[in-house]
Order: sequence, then C-alpha cells, then structure tokens
Amino acid sequence: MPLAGESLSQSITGAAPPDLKEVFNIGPPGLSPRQYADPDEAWAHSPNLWPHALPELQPAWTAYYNAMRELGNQLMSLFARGLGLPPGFFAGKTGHGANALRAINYPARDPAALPGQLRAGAHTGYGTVTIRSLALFSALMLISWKPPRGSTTSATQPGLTVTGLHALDGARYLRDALHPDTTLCRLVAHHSYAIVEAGERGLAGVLGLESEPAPHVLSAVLTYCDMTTSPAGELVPVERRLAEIHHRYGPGHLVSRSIQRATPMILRAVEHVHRRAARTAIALRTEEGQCLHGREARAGSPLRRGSSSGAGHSPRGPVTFDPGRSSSGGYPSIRERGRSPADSGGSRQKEAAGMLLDAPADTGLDAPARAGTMVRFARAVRTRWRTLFLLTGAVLTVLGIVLASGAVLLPGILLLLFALLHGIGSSGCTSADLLAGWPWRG
Amino acid sequence: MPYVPIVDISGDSSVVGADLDEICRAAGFFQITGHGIPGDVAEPAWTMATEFFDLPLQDKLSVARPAPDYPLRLHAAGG
Repeated sequence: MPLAGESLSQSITGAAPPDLKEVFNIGPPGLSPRQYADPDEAWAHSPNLWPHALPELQPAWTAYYNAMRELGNQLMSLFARGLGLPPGFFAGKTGHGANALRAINYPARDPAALPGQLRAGAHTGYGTVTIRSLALFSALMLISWKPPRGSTTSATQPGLTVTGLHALDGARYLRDALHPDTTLCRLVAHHSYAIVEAGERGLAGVLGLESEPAPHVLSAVLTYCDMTTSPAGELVPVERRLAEIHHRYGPGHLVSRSIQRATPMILRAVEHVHRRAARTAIALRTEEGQCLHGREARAGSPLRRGSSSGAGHSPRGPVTFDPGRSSSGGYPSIRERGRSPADSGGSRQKEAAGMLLDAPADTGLDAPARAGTMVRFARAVRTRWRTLFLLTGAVLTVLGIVLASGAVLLPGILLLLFALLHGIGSSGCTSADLLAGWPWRG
Repeated sequence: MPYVPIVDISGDSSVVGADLDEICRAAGFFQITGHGIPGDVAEPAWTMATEFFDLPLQDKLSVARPAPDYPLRLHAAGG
C-alpha cells in the first residue's frame, strides 16, 4: 500500500487524512485445505501478491507468518486457560483465521503533512490479538503509559520503573528490554539536555552515573530533531516547539522551568545543526556546478573535509542502525535507510544527521573567503583562542615572576587556568559541563 | 512500580494464563518473552521487509491491491 493509502483513524472518526506510511500485507499463505463456509470467507483468503523484484520475500514471510500464527494460537490457548476454559476452546474459532502479517514503513516525509495528518492515526486494534515486534519507537511510546490508579500487576516483572524523568525511564527501559548499543541508551538518557530536568528533580547524579552523555555531535542532532518536531510529528520552528512545551505544562511546572533553563543550550544546538546543514547544502550545490558563490563559502568551510560533497556516491549511504537483539529473540527494529542527495530534500533532519556524522567536530563559523583582515583575525581568535590564552597566560606568568608583580602574575595564571580547565571541560563530559554552567560547545 | 508488563509464556500454562487474565484486565497489552520464535525465522522476515521498502516505487506498486476492496485482512469481512 503506497504512501497515504490508508487512514487508521477513519475507523474511529469516519473521516481523516490518510496516514503517511507504506504498508506491505500478506494473509494466509497458500490455499487453505478447508472448504470455505461462504464467499466472504473465500474472499478473506484471497491470494497474496508477491513482488517479482524480490523473490526471497515469499519464503521468508511464509515461514514467519506460520511461526506467528502458531504464536497467536498459543496466546489464544493461554487466554482460554486464564478464563477457566479448556485450552483448545478458541482453536476451532480462530485457528484458521485470515490473519494479517504487515510491515509498515514510515519514509522520510517529502510532501508536507495536511492538518491532522499523522503517520498512523489513532485507532483500536481490529482483531483478537495484535502481535507487534518490539520496535524501538513502540518502547518510547509505551513509556508514557501509566496503569489505572489502584491497579495491581503483581504477577508481572517490573518492565519500567518510573522516576518521572522520561529520559531516564526511557533509557532504562531500552537498556533492560532491548539491550541495544549503549550509545543509544546514552542518547535517550541525555536527549535535549535532560540533565537540566534531572537536576530539577534531584536525579542529576543518578542520570549521570547510569548514562554517560553521548557524543556532542550526535546529541546535537537528536536535540535538533526533538526540538523542531511537534508532538503531532510536524516540522516546526524551535521557538514554537518550546512554546508548545510551556503551554502544555503551564507556568511554574517543573518541566517548564527545566526547559526554560535549557533553552539557551537548545537554541545553540539547533542553530549549530541548522547552520551546518545549510553550509553542506551550499557545498553540495557547488559540487553540482549550480552555484558559483558556494565555492567561496565552501572555501571557508571546514565541512569540505567531509565526504559529504562526493557527487558519485551517496554521502549518506545506507545507514543501518542495529540496536541489538534482545535476549528473548527479538530482532533489530529500527533502521534508517540511506537516501541519495537527489531525493533527500524532504527530510532536513536526516540530512542534517548524515552531514554531521560525516563532518569532523569543529567550532569554526562560516565566513566568506573574501572577508577582511579583521574578520579573519576574529575567526582565528574564535578557533584558536585556547592557544592564544595559553601563550598569553604563560608570557604574563613568566613576566609576573620575573618582575615580581602580582598585577601581571594574577591575570597570567587566570588565563592559563581558564584555557586548561576549558580544555578538560570539552573532553566529552557534557553533564558536568552543564551542571557547572558551561555553555554548549559543538 | 511495575509498568509495561512482561510475561514469559514458556512457563506453566495455567499460571501464565492467570497472569495474562490479570494483565489484560489492568492494561490490555504486554510484552512476551519465551515465545520460541527462532532468530533465523524472524530475521529474514525483517530483512526482506526492509528490502521490499527499498525497492523502486514501481516495483512496490506492482503488488498494490488490484481493487480497492481487496482484503487487507484487518477486518473479519467487508474490507
């Protein structure tokens, strides 16, 4: 089913824009040996359609379909036991059902979403049981679920302990249920400067101890994506996203306070990613010979060192993200497919992610190569300030000692200390930086 | 506090059945372990699904529903 081919919430509301997703469905493989009771049943068992371009799809999906049908029957049998019925009670009623196996793909969003248009509209499951592979996004969705007040689920293992800090709860759940790569847990734990809210909740120590901050560049991209996407999945300016959070929680709420405190850092991260994405776009256009002015900008851009300007290959080639297998036999469930430069216009987030992954970390700001001496000097100060501070500090310190003058010695030592400590601070210890009030640095 | 319920369905079926009864009354969904689906069944299905979506649009449309009422198999009958 192509993009916008289905509207799940039509099942509830009666009218809704189609969902922005692609779906591949199959029903029971092969002809059922049973006689169909009526035309409706025969219709429900209509043959599956398999693509000629991918012959391996049919055997793989047939085997999986059969395994999942067995699992469904096993669950129905367990339900019967729970209801005090014979184990085979449902077997004759659901055992030969026209079950659906469906894979859903949410491609990068090229067309702008209509008002109210979602990836998958609100709906209630249609069948008796839905078995869903444990996708990362399901896990993230579930963390916002809370059981009804007073309910007891004593028979269950703790799946998610709730501290109220969704970054920490989500990271713990990921870690325990999916056993993914630790970087993923770190990204979730520290997304969008969660350390600030952790501080407000008295959980900064817990968060910092359990999860080391993820690399700056990755964190910035995730913050960018989080802070430019509305809860409905629309791309929005960061200011609107921040306003939405304030509006949702109301003034004085802990989350509003935390977001307020994190706002300067969020804005810097978003600006940083945005600027870098724009710069790479200029570099790409130059490569295609469509923008002469781009060359100047590119000359001043450290990004040209990355592979992102290669015209012959995709700089953002297939990126397979494998969160690892769960101990219970689950399988990787999130995968960002690579996009070529030609078709990547619609998703600035993925574009930005690809670019930043390619690009070396740097703090340089872009300025045209024709910039004057003063501008070049200012840029040199910005990029090499630590060296300048160290040199000046050392000279002043030596002079201070030689002249035995405190007025010279003190600034020298201060400059030295600042340059040295700042160097330590930027070595990857983001949470410590933030707690200490250091500004965000790319 | 226990939240997303996790159930090992490989245990004694009367115990698991009673657990599921309680969970479904309280939550309505749960995560299962011990389902015994082998990795070499699940993984190719996943890989093939992703490869399918990577196909050119034309190849994907070759398996579009031939008619709007072709069964999606989400409903018991009627499309």
